Amino acid sequence: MQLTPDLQTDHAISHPLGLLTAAALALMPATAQAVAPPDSTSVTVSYLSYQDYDAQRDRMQVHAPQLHLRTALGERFGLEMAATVETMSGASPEFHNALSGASGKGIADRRRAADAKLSHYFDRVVLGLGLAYSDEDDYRSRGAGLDVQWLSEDQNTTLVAGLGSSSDHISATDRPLIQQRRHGKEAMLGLTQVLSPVAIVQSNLTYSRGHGYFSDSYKALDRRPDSRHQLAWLTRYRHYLPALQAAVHLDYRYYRDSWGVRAHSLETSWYQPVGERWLLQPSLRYHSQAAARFYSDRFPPARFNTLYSADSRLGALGAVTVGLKASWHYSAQTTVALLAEHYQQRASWHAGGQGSTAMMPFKANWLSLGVGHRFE
Amino acid sequence: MRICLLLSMTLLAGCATVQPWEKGHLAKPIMAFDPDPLTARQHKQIYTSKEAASGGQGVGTGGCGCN
Amino acid sequence: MLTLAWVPARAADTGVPAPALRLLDGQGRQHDLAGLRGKVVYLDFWASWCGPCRQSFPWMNQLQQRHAKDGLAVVAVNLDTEAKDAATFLARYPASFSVLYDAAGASAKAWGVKAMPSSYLIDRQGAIRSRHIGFRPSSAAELDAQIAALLQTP
Repeated sequence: MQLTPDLQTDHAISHPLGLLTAAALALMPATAQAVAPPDSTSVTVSYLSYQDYDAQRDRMQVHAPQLHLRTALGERFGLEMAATVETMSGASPEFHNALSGASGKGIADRRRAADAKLSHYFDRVVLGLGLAYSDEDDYRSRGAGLDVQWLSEDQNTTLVAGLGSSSDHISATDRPLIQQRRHGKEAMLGLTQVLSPVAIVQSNLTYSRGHGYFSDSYKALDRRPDSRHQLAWLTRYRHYLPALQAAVHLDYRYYRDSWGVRAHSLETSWYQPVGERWLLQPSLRYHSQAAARFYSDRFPPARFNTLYSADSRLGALGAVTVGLKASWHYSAQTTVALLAEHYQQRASWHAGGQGSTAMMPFKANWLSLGVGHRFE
Repeated sequence: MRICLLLSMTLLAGCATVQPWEKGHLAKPIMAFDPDPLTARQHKQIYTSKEAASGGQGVGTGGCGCN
Repeated sequence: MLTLAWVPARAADTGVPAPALRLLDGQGRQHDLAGLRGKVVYLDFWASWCGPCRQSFPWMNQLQQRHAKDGLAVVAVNLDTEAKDAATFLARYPASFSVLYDAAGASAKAWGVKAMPSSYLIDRQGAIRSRHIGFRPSSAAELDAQIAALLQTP
C-alpha cells in the first residue's frame, strides 16, 4: 500500500492536555537521548520560610527568595544559575548550640549566594565548569569546579570525574581582629547506569581535603583541628512504576571524616501524578551521625588547650525529616509548587546507641512556594 | 559489564541493554536525579548547617559560614 | 554516534537495500515502505519524550511541503509505548507528513536505531544513502542540500 502523504486527521482529534507529559519534554536525564543542552529556557522563583525552635521559644527564622535559571547558549552550551538572599533573624548567630543561650542578643544576618555552571556538550562528552559564591558579614566562600562526563556508546552508562576547590574567609562581627582562612580541594568520581527501562542508578564518591580555620569563633573555647578530610559516597536510585505512573526515589549517603564523624543519610520520596495537573510527593529522610572525637557534652571542657567543641551539630544524634510537596501544572509551561517539611533532631535517635545525652531536642519547619516557567 | 553486574547484584535489578527507544519512562522529569534544583540547594544549606556530614552533590559548590 | 552532521552510512550499509518497514498509521491502515519505491524517503524514528524530536518536526513539515512535488516522502515512525503520549505530542507539534506507530520497537531494532531521534535517507531505488543521529537546527541547511542532491538523481 502507498504511504499516505498527509495524515492530518491523526492529530485533528482533540486530546487530553497531557500536561505532565508535555512538561516531560523540559528536562531529561543525559542517558535518555542524544546529549544536548536544555531545549528550552526554564526559570523558577521560590520563597523559603524557615523556622526552628526548641521547647522554650522560637530560636531562628530564615526568609529566602530564590531564583533558578536553566538555558541553552547555542547548540553546544548550556547554562544553569541559581541565586538566593537569605535573611536570618534569631537569638544568636550560633543558633544551634546548647551553649548559645549565654549571648542571647538579637541578630540579623544576611547571606547572599549564587552559583553558575556552564556546560559544553560534545557528541558523547560533556564538560562542565561551575562557580559558587556565598557571602555573609562574617564569612565569605568561593568555590570552583570542573567536571567531565563520558557517555557510553549505548548511552546506558555515564562516567563522571570532577575536581573542585574552595577558598573561605572567616571573620567575627563582634571581634574585627579575627581574620581566618580555610582552603579546600575535592575530587569526585561517579557512575550512572541504566538498569532497565524503569530503573536507573547513580553512585558518586567525593573526597575532599580542607585546611585552615574550622573552629567557631563565636563559641567559647571551641577549638577544632586545622584540617578536615571528608569522604561522601552518595548512591541514588530511581524506579518507575508504569501501572501507577509513579516514581520512587531512594538516596543513601555514607559519610566519614578525619574528625571521627561517621554518618548515614537515607532519603526516599514518592512522586505520584494525580490527574493531568497534580503531582504529589511525600518524602522521608533519616540521618544518623557519630560524634566528632573532640566533641564533648561538658562545658567547660575537662582540660584546656586541647581540641574541644560543644557544638551539638558535632554530637552523636539522629534526625528525621518528613515532607510533602504538591505541584500544580497551571499549563504545560507553568508549574506552581508548595513544599512543607518538618525536621527533628534527637540524641536518642542516633542509630545503635544513646547519642550525645546533653543535647536538647531540636525541631525545624520550613515551607517553600515556587513558580516555574518554561519558555519555548 | 562488570560494573553492570556489580550494580545489578547490589540492587537486585536486571541489567540487560536498554534500547534507545525504551527510555521513555527514564526520560520523565520525575525520574531525574535532581528534579528540583532549588529544593536540592535548600536541603543542602539546611542539612549542612544542622548536621556534621555534607557533600556528595558535586564539585565546586562552595561552602557557607553555617557550619 | 551522536554526530549531528550527515554521516555516510557505513561502507557495508551504503547503497544496501532498506530493511522492510510495514506499520500501521493512526487510523489502523497498513503502510509499506516498499510502496514508496521511486521516491526519495526521509525516514525518522522519534518519541514524544525526546527533546530534539520536538525541534525536528517543524523542519520535517517544511521539507514535506517544499519537496513533495519533487518526489520526496517524509515518514516518521513513533516509538512511544503509550499511544496517548504520541497523541499529546502531535497535538502540540502537528505533523503534515506520515506518522506510523511501532510501540514494540521492532522496526527500530531492524533498522539499528542507536539514539533518539535517528533518521535515514533512502533513494528512489530503495537503498539507504545515509543515516543521521540527533537533530540540531543548524544542521538543517546541510540536510536540505543532501536531500536536494538526492532528489536530482533519477
